[in-house]
Amino acid sequence: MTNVIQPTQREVFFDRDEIIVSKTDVKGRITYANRVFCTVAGYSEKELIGAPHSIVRHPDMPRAVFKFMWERILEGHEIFAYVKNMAKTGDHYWVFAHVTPSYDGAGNLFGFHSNRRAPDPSIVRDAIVPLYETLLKTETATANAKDGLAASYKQFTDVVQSKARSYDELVFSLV
Amino acid sequence: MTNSSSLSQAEWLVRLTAIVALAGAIISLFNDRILDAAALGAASLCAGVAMARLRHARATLKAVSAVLASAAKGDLEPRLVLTRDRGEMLALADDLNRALDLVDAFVREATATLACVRDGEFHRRIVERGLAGTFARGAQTMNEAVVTIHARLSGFSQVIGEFDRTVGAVSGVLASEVQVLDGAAKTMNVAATETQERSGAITQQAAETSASVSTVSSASEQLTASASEIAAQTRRALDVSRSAQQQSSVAGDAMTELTAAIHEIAEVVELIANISTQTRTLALNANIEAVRAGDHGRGFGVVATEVKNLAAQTADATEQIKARIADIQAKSDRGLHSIFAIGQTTSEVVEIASAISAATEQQSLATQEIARTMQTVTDATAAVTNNATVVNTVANDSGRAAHDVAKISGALANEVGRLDQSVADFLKLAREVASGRRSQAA
Ligand SMILES: Cc1cc2nc3c(=O)[nH]c(=O)nc-3n(C[C@H](O)[C@H](O)[C@H](O)COP(=O)(O)O)c2cc1C
Repeated sequence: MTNVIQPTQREVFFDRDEIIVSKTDVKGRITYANRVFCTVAGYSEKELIGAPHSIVRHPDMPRAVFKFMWERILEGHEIFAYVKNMAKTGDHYWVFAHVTPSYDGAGNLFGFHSNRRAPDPSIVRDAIVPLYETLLKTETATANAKDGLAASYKQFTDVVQSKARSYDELVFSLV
Repeated sequence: MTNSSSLSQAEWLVRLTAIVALAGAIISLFNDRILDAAALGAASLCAGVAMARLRHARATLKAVSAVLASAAKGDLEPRLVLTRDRGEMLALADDLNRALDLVDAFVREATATLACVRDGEFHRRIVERGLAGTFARGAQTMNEAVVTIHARLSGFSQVIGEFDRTVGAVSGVLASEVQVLDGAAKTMNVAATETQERSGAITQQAAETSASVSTVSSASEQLTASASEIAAQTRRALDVSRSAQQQSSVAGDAMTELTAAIHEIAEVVELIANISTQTRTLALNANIEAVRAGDHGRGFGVVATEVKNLAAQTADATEQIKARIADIQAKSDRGLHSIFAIGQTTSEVVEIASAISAATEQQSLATQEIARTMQTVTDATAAVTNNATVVNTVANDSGRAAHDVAKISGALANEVGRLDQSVADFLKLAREVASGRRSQAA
């Protein structure tokens, strides 16, 4: 379904006061999408509920970022990440996503929650786009997808380590 | 009726309307009032549809109510999804979702941020973007609080660092000083012990020396005594032999005189012997005359015979005297000889005694010298013993002092150790507090 949509490389924006909210089950299937999400992504609520979150995945996003994200949230950590998402139209919108695990009253993980804010365009332009381009290049340059992911993942963690004590500190130093 | 909601009342009224309209429609139909019946039928149908719509609205409201009830219980997860309504109802659902999203976002952000603070991480801030109104203000206040806490803890850490540098350095210096002190005390103690041992050995040696000196001293005293004894005896021997010499010379003189006297006696005896011989001759002659003179001569002859006998007796006596004199002469000669020999021996004795006297004099002098030397040695030994005793006392004192110092330095080391420990403990605690790792445990 996602492969039908061609990226237009046209960027759309959403209001700084708004938050794109979604909730998923443990597999990443959408269980809730707020009105802003629907509006910005151009999908109806009906289209989104039950769909995998990769419905808004943009091909420019390196896989290493999602691998890192999933590792973190499955360990019970929160994570902040800059993500380039693709609307139904093929247009894209950058988000500063905050993904957190959700627990029931008994403390069992039953899903994830995500809040996305409009990011600072200068951070995206100066820090994120060059990094993601490098990672993506590494991933596509390698014939074997698995090896490519491993290489770009290492590249990603190396960059993080070279710049800050932790990924979280790096993210908040950018904010 | 009074307990039911406006929605329920509306439902009842709509249902009533439907029923009434339906009844009206049926009655109109029986009365052949077709138009009325159609109108009432349509009204009833509308009322029926309205009932369905109302039921729809009721379902939506129920869903809203359920979500709010969960939220009221603190469960912010449920949302209104796929609301099959539009307009205000959809807006109601959306607004509810938005409100919940806002609360949810705030709670997740605040919780995560404060969890970081709890764990000593201060990079995390509540992302204020997208939060509105009270939430935005609350987030701002909390972020300010995080910044303030961080600044205070940083300041505190700095103070701790300062404290560590100063107090830690002081206690480090103290520790090394104490070590030096301890080392000095140990060295001092060793030196004192050695000094004590040596002074003890000196005292012992001095005592031994003193003992041998007093042995020599008493020996030399005995020597002096016997020397003076010998001197006295020699003197006496000298006196005696001198008087013997004198007497022997007196005896010699007497002997010489005696010999001379004997000689004279011998001469007299010789004279007597001659006279008696002559007398005998005369008597013989007289006898012969007497015989010639016969009776007249008889008396004379008797006298002459008597004289002859007397002369014979005198000759006998002189012979005996001569023999005796010869004997005496021989004996006096021998006496003279022996007196001479005695004189000679006595002279030799005197000579020897003099030599002995001189020797004893010298010996006495030497012995006195020895005694004097021994006194000096005794004095020196006493001085050594005295000094050694003083040294021993001093060594004892310094040993005790070293011991005290060692004890004090030990106690000091202990104290420094405890100081170190408490400083370390304090710093550890303070650092834990500063890093926020302590807050829950405490
Ligand atoms: C709560 C939550 C939110 C997510 N949001 C996004 C998103 O905004 N964009 C995105 O591309 N992937 C998002 N993902 C990740 C997707 O689930 C998926 O891992 C990612 O799109 C990569 O897709 P792929 O594995 O098909 O390459 C989210 C996952 C979770 C659990």
